[in-house]
Amino acid sequence: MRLRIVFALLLLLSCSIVEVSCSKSSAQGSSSGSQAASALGQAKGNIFTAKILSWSKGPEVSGDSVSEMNNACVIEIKTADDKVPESISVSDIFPFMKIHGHGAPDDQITWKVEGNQIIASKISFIMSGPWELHVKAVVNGQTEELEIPVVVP
Amino acid sequence: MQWFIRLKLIILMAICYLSAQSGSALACASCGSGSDDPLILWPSEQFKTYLGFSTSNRFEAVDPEGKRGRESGPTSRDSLTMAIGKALRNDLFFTLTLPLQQNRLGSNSLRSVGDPMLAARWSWLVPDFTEPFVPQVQLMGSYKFANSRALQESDRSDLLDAFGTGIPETKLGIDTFWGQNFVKGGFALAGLFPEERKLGRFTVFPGNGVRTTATLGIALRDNDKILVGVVNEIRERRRNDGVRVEGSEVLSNAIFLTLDWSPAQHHTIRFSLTDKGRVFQNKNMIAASSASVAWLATWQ
Repeated sequence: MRLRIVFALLLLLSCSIVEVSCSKSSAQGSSSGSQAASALGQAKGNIFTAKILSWSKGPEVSGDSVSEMNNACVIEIKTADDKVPESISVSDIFPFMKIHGHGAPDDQITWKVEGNQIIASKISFIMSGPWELHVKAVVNGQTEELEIPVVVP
Repeated sequence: MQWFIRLKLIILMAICYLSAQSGSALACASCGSGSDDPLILWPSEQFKTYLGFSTSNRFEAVDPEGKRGRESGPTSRDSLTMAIGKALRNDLFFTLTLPLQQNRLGSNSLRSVGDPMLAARWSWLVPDFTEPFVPQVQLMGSYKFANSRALQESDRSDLLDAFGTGIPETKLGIDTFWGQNFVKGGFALAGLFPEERKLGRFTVFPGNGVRTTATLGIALRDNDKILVGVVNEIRERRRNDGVRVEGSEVLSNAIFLTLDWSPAQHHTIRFSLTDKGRVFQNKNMIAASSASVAWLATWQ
């Protein structure tokens, strides 16, 4: 019995040692992927596409009060076949970090539609890393929600 | 990494199976490495209490590539942890742990009851004085209740009201400790099984995981000892609304230093320093540094 215990423990220990070394090498290997990511993300849906054209502020980790949540961007909306929509109505914009399973305060976010562009302000990101800016809009009478990737440095 | 989680869980189940075949548990005093649960009872102890204060700070978000970045919200999280332990037999005890937490940001702070945890340990193998190289082997299980408000449920811009994960979690594992010699060491392995919960806009599942702890230390005088250790935690990809999230695997490593000092019989003062997320490779976690001091007292 004791030999079985010792054998099992040695096996577990060896697993952990290999695991640490493997995870280190795999993480190093994936570093090039991050360089392709950008703050000017885009998303394509069945009804419309959304593309961040520019950030007038940010993207950056916000402060701790509403007055310090100042990330702002311009999002271009086009139909799925790359045409300018006849009508756009935004029902929700909020940030979410799906790799951590949480969002950030979003009650303060404001937006306005100018032509086929959405100007979104007071966006909060509570930590660095890969986020998604969710845009739920009615485009040409059809509703869809898209996730635009945003990397917050 | 998925392969290692599966292998570790298989080995864990195999050990549990082997334990069911064993009927040899020798009565002897020792203690487990203790990094998984704050309160561990020795075989001769019937009732024990734990009162500890810890403070954590230097929070940094670690991204999927291991790069550390900024995080807003509380700059310090303090915890006053109370635990009681009751033995039912020499080889079986239960503990109940209740933390009171305080988040601080500048001059603002907010307090809350944290997530209580109910735990049990069964000593499958207790070392015999005549065989100093045979370890103590304990099977451990715990359930952490999700009592406190999670980040997803926060309604403050400064996140001071976010105290827990919002996710109940079951832990099952094995803890071994060689404690009879001048050089001491332990090794613990636990499977982490969280529940799926609706938090905020989405239903989230943080992913099953495996926590491995290794400790090494030396005896000082009497029951005093100093230990250093490493805690490795890995979790499979999380699910949001039932959809697996690519790149969301968690890899977390921490190192700790613990000093146990017994100023009087049945009383131990424990000092600990922990640095998490700044050694080895880490991903998708929050790095933090913490310090704690605790008083452990045996009453029966």
